[in-house]
Amino acid sequence: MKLISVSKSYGDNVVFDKFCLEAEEKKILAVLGSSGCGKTTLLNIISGLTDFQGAVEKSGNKISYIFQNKRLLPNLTVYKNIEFVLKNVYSKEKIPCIINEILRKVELYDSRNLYPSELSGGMGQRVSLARAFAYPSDILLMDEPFKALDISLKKRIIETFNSLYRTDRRTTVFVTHDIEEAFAVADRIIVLQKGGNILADETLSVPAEERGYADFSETKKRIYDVL
Amino acid sequence: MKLKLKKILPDIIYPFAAVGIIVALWAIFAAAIDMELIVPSIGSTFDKLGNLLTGADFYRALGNTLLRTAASFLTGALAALLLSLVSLNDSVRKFLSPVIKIVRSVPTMSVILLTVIWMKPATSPIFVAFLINFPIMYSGFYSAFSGVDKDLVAMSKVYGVKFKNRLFELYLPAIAPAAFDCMQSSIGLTVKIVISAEVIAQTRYSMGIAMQMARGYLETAELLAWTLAAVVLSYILELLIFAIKKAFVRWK
Ligand SMILES: Nc1ncnc2c1ncn2[C@@H]1O[C@H](COP(=O)(O)OP(=O)(O)O)[C@@H](O)[C@H]1O
Ligand SMILES: [Mg+2]
Repeated sequence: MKLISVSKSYGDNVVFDKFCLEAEEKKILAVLGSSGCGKTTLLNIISGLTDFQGAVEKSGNKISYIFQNKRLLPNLTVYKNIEFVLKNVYSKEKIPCIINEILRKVELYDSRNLYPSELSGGMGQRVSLARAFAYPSDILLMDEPFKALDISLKKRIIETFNSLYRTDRRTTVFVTHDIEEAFAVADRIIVLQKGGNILADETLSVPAEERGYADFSETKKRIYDVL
Repeated sequence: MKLKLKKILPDIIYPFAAVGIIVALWAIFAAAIDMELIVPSIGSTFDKLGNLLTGADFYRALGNTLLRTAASFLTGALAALLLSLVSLNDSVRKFLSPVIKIVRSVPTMSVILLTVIWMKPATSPIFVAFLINFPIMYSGFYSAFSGVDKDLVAMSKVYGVKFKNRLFELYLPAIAPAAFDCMQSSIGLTVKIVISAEVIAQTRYSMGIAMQMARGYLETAELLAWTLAAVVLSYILELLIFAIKKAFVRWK
């Protein structure tokens, strides 16, 4: 996926100025940056939710998006929320198998008939994760999906994400302001500054699933230096 | 069990107290004025109501007025739903909003008098009530539609959800609570307007004409009995809409 000379402003507020970025297919690109630097805007540009100048070249048109807030329909159960995005892409017969399988993977099978108001924050985020992976997308966008979770919940959800991703790779852009989260999942990390400057660009040699607690102190130091 | 009783007791006590106070005031006025022609006693009003309830004319009038109310209300609600939905498009809204504003600001009495000239007595009350309830429901539905969570709309667009599914699973459920509240208050208004229009259009076999005739014969007790019937009719229709809302909005 390629962003070619992308510019975006809100009035006088220039968020991207002739910004270029290439994301490798089937790899996770983490975009680190402080709040307000344009991370959400970047994902909205890629997903077509906001207008912009320039071009985005994509290998396919289907996009899964895990938003910063969960964005679940309050009137639909967990199961129906996932079904809602699949009706247009899979046949009626195939949908139940896909949903039940993904719900087992995110440990929500027993909660499939609950409404969003009955879910805890971590469970809601899991539904959002399940929805993104159930949908057969070419591109996966993630906007600080682990932000509002406490440490142990965050660790478990990141594990779930890594196990889903291992069997179902997609070209992924993962934005966060948390450097540890970036190291827990990404293949490559860039540091973004307002206006579209890339302050650091590091490719991590060890794949996320083999990484464990591998020490990236040199890389981390280089990233911390530009922050 | 005890707790539950404690919780629902106010729901029973207060309405009864309110009705009790109204009835007491009525009894006091009737006794003080002591003229059946001006303020009939409770006893004679309920006697009349009893008489009405045993005659076939009552049900004929009630049925006709109810049908007119239903026809007017359902067409009003349907038109309001369709037009408020297409008003989500900005240009459509800009075109429609002055039209609706004009319809809204025409005095009720002019609408009634004009349509009585243009239409048959049996159908003009339907149209009059439509002209009154449609703009109210349109505004209510439109503001409910514009309150639909933009984040959810954006989500469904990214995931390529078809308009049909968005309509039935996102938009309509989202507006349902507010839309039903709006319909609940419109139905009572529709009953009132239909009856008023029936009075002026001299619609045969209707509650409106029955009230008008009771007034003409100075049968004040009978007029009050019809009024009670109209109040009960409104109340039952409101309850019906409330029940449909409860059956439909299950996720809260
Ligand atoms: N809809 C909008 N209207 C006006 N300004 C906006 C809008 N969305 C974002 N911005 C501005 O664009 C900049 C980048 O915002 P955003 O992409 O949300 O940052 P981040 O996600 O990195 O916190 C901020 O300065 C923000 O105020
Ligand atoms: Mg953001």
